[in-house]
Amino acid sequence: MTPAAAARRLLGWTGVALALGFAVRTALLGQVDDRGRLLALLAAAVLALVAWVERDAVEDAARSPSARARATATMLTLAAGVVAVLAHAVVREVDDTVDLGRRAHHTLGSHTLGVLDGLDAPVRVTAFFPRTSPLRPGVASLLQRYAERSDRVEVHLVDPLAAPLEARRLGATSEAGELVLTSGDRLERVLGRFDEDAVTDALVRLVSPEDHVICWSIGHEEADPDDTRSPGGAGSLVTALEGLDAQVLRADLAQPLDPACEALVLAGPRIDLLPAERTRLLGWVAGGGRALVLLEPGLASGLASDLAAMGVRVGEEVVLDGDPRHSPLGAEDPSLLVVPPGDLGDHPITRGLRGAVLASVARPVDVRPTPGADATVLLRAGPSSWAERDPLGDAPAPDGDEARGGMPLGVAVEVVGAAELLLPEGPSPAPAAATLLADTLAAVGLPPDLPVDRPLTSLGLPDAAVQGLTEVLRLRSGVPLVPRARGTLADLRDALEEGLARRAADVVPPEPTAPRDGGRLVVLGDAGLIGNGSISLGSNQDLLLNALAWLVGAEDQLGERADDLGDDLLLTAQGRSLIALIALGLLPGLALAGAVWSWRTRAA
Amino acid sequence: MSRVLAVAARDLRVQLRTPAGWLALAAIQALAGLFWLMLVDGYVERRADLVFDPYAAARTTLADHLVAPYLGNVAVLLLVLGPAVTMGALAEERRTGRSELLLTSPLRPAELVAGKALASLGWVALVLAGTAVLPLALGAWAPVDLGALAGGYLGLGLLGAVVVGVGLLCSAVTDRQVVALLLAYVVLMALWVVGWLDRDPTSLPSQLSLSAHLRDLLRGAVRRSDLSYLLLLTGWTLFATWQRVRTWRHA
Repeated sequence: MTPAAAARRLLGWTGVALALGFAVRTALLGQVDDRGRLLALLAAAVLALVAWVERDAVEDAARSPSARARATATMLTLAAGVVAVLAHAVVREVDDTVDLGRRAHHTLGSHTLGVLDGLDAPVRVTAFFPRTSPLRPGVASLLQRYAERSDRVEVHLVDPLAAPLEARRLGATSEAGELVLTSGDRLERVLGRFDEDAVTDALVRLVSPEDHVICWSIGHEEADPDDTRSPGGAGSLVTALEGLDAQVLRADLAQPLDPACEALVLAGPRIDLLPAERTRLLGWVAGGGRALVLLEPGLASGLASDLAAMGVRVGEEVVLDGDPRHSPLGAEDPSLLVVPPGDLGDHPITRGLRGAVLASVARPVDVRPTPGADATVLLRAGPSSWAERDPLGDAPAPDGDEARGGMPLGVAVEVVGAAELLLPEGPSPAPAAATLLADTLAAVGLPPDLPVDRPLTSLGLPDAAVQGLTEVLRLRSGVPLVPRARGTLADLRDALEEGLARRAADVVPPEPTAPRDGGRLVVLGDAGLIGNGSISLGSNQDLLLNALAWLVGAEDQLGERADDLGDDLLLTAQGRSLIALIALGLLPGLALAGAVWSWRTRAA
Repeated sequence: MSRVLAVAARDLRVQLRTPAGWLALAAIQALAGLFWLMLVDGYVERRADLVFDPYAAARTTLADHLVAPYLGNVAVLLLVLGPAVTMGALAEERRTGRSELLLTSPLRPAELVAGKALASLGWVALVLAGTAVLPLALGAWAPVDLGALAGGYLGLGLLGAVVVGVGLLCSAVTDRQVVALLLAYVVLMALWVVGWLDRDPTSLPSQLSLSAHLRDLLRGAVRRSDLSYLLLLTGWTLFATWQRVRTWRHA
């Protein structure tokens, strides 16, 4: 080929490349921008020049069948390429992802989808990551899913080294990468963690008009909202709530509630509420307030029975299940319960949950048909569960009169006719110390006719019984009682009377509330769900966050948050050797056997 | 259709009756096995190291941190060894003059190309089936995410189809096997690494890149645009090969 011919050919291919570049760019961008126009102009000019320079060849080609065939093939191939690029551009416009993985964590969780679908203002997400950052592809891919889901989300990936002015304008200074979300004049940052939870939480903080205020009841030995370490503390949930920009305030039911409270949380009170406090709580819900109540078996009996007025029946039993499919330890510890997603109720709180809820030592909480209250069971234990009255007995098993089968463990109530609710007129009088003492003696299995004026130690009662009596009395009354060596039942009764009077004096009588529809109440029969030790199990945290989101009316935040527990791979030395044998011996060996077979076949 | 199958069966038979084909398969299996073993050891160590980092541990899953990297390695093996299978498919036919014989027979160019592609895909399927044994066998020790694995193998199958398409096109444009092999390597490697220029998934380099379109697929996330890219690229290369073979009649 002469140099002139080579130059002509090079010019021809340059024209084709420019035209292709224009087609690809336009298809991918979905518009013709300035650079696209320049490409098109250059392509047209170069191709026109080639046609002019090669006019003789073109004329010959028109006569030669082989050249005509080649030209046709080239044109058809180019046309097919353009069609393919256009078809791909169309598919990109309606792009979607199906996640075949078990955890589906390469697609957005239902919580994020709810938040994105609820966006009513445009959000710009600027991701500042250097081009060399190993985090950049993952973050870009994650943000792309947000942009694909919602037209209101606009994503910009910026290299802060290449665009320092943009980084300075938005105050991005982290060298490890940073996300800046802006909407109007509001701005949120994501630093350190760049997963779906972190991005969605920032989005929620950005678009929430104001913080939700959640009031956390204290004073009855509830789960401690500041404790992030012990298994019974509720600090982990509170941290998650604060990550969603909710304010968690302390509340005392003995005092009028802060009108700013959007939801009240009563997280497993060990000490029963005083009648006035219970009246305040019920009045709060009947007056349009929202409350989440978690109750442990055997505790807060007064509140448990009062909730019947709101359409919730709270049993005093413990729900047990010996079926290993619904209780991880089966008959060994039937109080551990697994509620798979299929056994969760059809309610906004539970609808988006994909994982199981794991409860431990729960009491039954069922719907009690009540005019004015629309109640729904949220979760049920397995079909072989039952409500055990004597969980501490040897080998508990369902007795004839104990309820069994799919025991309900939680209820959500919406007040639809507040005026129809049959709430008590005012707080019932506090039980007298003597009555409380007699009831408690019976409850702990001691004879009610014990002499009151003899030291307890002289009655031949075991120490454990005396301590149990004092502790149960303390939980029922909220009065701290210290057993004394020479103390009598009369001393206990007097101390109780004095303590009850002091406690009652601290309570501000509940103010009368006008009935108003729209109150919401969620009651769960296991306070342990909220503890740091259980919150990360299965969908427990999502259940509670959903319950609170439903209570404060943030329905767009309901759903399953992205979560994962990772996969362990526990290999014994034998297992590892077996894997090595399959990987390096068996499979290559089979292929080698094939080689020998083919060699012998050919030789034969 | 029967003529397509006849061409495919003949080519596959030739490949399977050649010790070189089996040796290549053994080499792939041995390399894949070695990668697998290293990844398994790495995963076990990594999980042990993460005992005190529950956040990172929660995000370390078999599907993402063992199976997906392994499938990534298998993808590279396909890129390296695939063109070796297709290099002679058309170039050799042309060099030996068998192509003229074939094209003067009732066999149409499209049928010839489809048969050759089917035979090469059969070989790819054999390779993939062999490599799938390892993650499946892991199920004896840990919960293997079969959905993610299926998504990953869908991606590898489509990558295999692209490799076959590009390999056949390169084999059709020259009558020298070595040139076809090198050409296919250049094209496939360019398509593989172009995404490294800009890792933003919406950028033009990423949109053109094979590796960018495979990344989510290998983790079980099947994106419509990834499927479209791989299918359209395969379709276009086979179409171009067909057009190229059609011109042989007039050569």
